[in-house]
Amino acid sequence: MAMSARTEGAFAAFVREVEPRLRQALVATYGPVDGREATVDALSWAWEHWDRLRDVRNPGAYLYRVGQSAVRRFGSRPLPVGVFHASDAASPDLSPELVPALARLSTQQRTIVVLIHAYGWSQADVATLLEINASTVREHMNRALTRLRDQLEVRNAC
Amino acid sequence: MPADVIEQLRMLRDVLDAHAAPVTFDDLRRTDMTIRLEPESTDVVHPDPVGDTEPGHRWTKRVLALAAVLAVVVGLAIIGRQDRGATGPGPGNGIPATVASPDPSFTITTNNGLTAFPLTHPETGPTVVEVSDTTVPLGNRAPIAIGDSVMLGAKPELERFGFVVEASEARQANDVIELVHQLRTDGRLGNTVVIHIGTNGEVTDDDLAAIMANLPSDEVSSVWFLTVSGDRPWVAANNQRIVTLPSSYPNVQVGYWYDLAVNLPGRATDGIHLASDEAKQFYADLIATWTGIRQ
Repeated sequence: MAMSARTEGAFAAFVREVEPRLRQALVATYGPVDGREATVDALSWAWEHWDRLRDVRNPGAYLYRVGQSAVRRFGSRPLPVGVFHASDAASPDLSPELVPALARLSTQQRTIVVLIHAYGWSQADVATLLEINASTVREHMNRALTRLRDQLEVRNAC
Repeated sequence: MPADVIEQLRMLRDVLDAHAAPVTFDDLRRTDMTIRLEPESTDVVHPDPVGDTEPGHRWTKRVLALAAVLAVVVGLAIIGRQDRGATGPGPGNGIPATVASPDPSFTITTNNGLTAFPLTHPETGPTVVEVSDTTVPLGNRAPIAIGDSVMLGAKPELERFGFVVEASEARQANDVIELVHQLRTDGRLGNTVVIHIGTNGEVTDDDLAAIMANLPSDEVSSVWFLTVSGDRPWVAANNQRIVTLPSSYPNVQVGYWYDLAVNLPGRATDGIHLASDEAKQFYADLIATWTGIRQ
């Protein structure tokens, strides 16, 4: 797609602004491998549809959904639990059961709890991304934390 | 003693960051910015055969178009019910020869909803569950409407027609697969199920096959899938998949919501959700009419 240097510069600035949180959102949902890949796909789509995207009110949320669509295109895969094992040594306090427990949450619960408690997003920002009410976010987050605690406690007690 | 869950999640960030490096503009350049998604130009709707270029005739054409679509929709509903031997309310086939249309003053513009598409067949082997025993006879179970936030907006209106509404915000296909599986396991599926999903993300042939695996025609005589509307990149492809379902599943019929929603007054500014009471009632009336519940 041919673009002027000015447009290209504007798009590069857009990527710098949107990419970190878009990547965090997709990683929270799909894990680091598929999440990053989906980020590349979503931003590639943004490049191709740049004219249209400039009019979108919430481009981050829009591209998140494009990324979701991309993941589904290359196949719905389980959260790659194994990819975290290499990092266990770097985080000795991190329970090896945490990621498997996250993988057992619903997609929505996992996305919300990781965005809020791993990446430090506000509940309002998550609500904007997912286009749901803040109260729904809070509900999912509390349920996710309860499930994680139950599962980690059970595993640790065994 | 391991750290609390919240503390562990905080530590997880470093691990995630280590495995998901930032995507830069140069990274995108190196991938040649290939489009890997469905091109949006694949619109499911043919150009309006009625035309819309003469303002003086626009209103008349809109009413005629709406009447034509409703007539076809009602006709399909009657034919569908005749084919499978209607068990719903009402004499004979369960639907009167004429069915009251939604508020005629609520005029909308529509394209021809009965667009032909290449027929495809799902190629999946979805999981099927054992149905639990239930004490509620099949014919007495309430119709179920499953959907996302669009349907959620009209929940009270649908409930007034007797639907059990299982709708939630940001719903994805996976949620519906699980929900239908659960409803069947619980013995809650009746003769009529309405499904309206695809607004929030792609619904693949595999997803649709997995849903239908738990809606077999010998248990659920009438499954209505509604097409979706919205300026989102997956909508056209989802609709293409939805409209081919009747070719694979004899108990499936399609409600062409996309065509009716395009110029529906009373939608929210996002062009997707139902904002006004009239729009919500129109949506519920349509579903109730399609399924033969509204007479």
